[in-house]
Amino acid sequence: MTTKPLTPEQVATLAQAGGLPVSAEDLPEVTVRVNAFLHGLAPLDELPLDSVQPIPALPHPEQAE
Amino acid sequence: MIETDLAFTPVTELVQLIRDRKVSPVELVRMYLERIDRWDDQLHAYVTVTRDTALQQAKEAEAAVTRGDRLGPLHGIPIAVKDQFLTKGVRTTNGTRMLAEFVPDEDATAVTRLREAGAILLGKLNMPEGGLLGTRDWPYGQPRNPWNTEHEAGASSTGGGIAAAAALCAAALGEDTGGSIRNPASYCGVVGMRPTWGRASRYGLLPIVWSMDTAGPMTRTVADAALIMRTIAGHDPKDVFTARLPVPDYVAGLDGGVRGLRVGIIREYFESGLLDRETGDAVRAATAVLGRLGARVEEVSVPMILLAGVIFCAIADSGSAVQHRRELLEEPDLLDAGPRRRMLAASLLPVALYYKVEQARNLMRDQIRAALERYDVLISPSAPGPAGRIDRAQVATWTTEDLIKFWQRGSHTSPFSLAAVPALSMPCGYTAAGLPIGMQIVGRPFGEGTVLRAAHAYETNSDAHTKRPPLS
Repeated sequence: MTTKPLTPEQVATLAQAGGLPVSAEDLPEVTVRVNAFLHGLAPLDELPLDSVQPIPALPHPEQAE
Repeated sequence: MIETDLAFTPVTELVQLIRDRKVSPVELVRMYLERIDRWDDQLHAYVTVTRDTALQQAKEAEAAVTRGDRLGPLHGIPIAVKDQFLTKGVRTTNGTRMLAEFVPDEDATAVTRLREAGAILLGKLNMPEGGLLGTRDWPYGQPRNPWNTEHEAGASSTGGGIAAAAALCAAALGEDTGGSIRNPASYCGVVGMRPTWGRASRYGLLPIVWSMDTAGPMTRTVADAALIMRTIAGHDPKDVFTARLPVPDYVAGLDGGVRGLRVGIIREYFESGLLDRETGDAVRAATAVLGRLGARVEEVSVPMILLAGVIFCAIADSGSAVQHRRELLEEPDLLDAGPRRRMLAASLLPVALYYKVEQARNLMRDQIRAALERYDVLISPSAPGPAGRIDRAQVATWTTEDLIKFWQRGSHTSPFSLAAVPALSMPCGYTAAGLPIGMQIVGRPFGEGTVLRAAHAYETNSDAHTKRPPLS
């Protein structure tokens, strides 16, 4: 998804655009968390997702053992 | 029987003792209240203790026994409930300061069913704010593990794990989204079960993630879990997603044994480098017990399994951000810094990435269910190690790499939430330092009976469940 981590300034700009009140106190950890998501979810790009539907993975009663 | 023995007596036996008039519900409630008074200032399992109403209900239950009334399957049993379930006339905080004065005017369906079965509500149990891990300043007291109070007790059904382990109730009702029953069950050395999504009603459960939230038991024995599971399971017109399948008698099915049962141990956990040696050894030894009892035990691969934690957190944090959007926008300071920062970060994820996360969830479901076509149950450690120290649980200074590793560690319970299948954690040993180790047993959709049967077979051929924490 991304190779270069977002800076706190970039995260603050994103939050401002989305109307989210990210305080100066929260910004460092929010930045770490956004970057962790982007980095941690990057392996999803390697998965064969083209034919997978994005619907919740709910069971159906007929699948009962 | 000395008081401590009575407090730890399984629910299945307490029910019979009450029916035989050898123990009265009033005596039981008083005993658990005294234990709460004695221990809970340290442990902080409870947010609210319903002292007066519990005693009143106990007197009514005792009168019913004296009259010879027909008694429910949990008649006179003092049960505590996670503070995420609505309880009529009893405040329901969801672990937040914002709901400190919220008193619902109706019960969650799971609570209604426990009451109809004769259970007595002893109180409401502590949990992190909104059910999200990472709460730093616990509004209702820092919960502590009864096996070692310097250690955490797991989350988010935190109070349930503590109260069941330290016998501050006969049994507890928890809620599991990504491991919220199984993680504290593992850390506190008790049995905790997440049923198939749709097996038990979510009505009256304050939501975390609508497609993963489940109600389930937290108990000291597998039979007690089966009894409570049987009570709360089944279709509820108030939750349209509950299945209309009949509810099996899970208790009656416990003694079927495991001869011929196909058991798959998930290989990736043991090759991840995340697993503590003692935990790996204990889970391997437990599966060997199942093998000696006649199960066919083999290794199985679920290639995506260690991605589950980050996939789950992307969904859970986004879902929570939507649930708490008003507070995030208007009163962010009322939210604890931990959950607030989780929700803010998730709110900034690109929509296209979230779409991909939901696709990946389904791919993982397919891998898990493919494994469950070849095996009747899957086995894994419930967590990669025992409960950590409370000061270690603070995450404010974590780096990106720390967080990714934390999510990988959460990949022990969350895959089965993503796949919406039943999963149970039970004690299978202790570390040299005396902390419990949990084994997880996973079943097919609506296969709670098979999971409970395998767990019962292990329990009756082992002794991990017989140990009591020092603080009890």
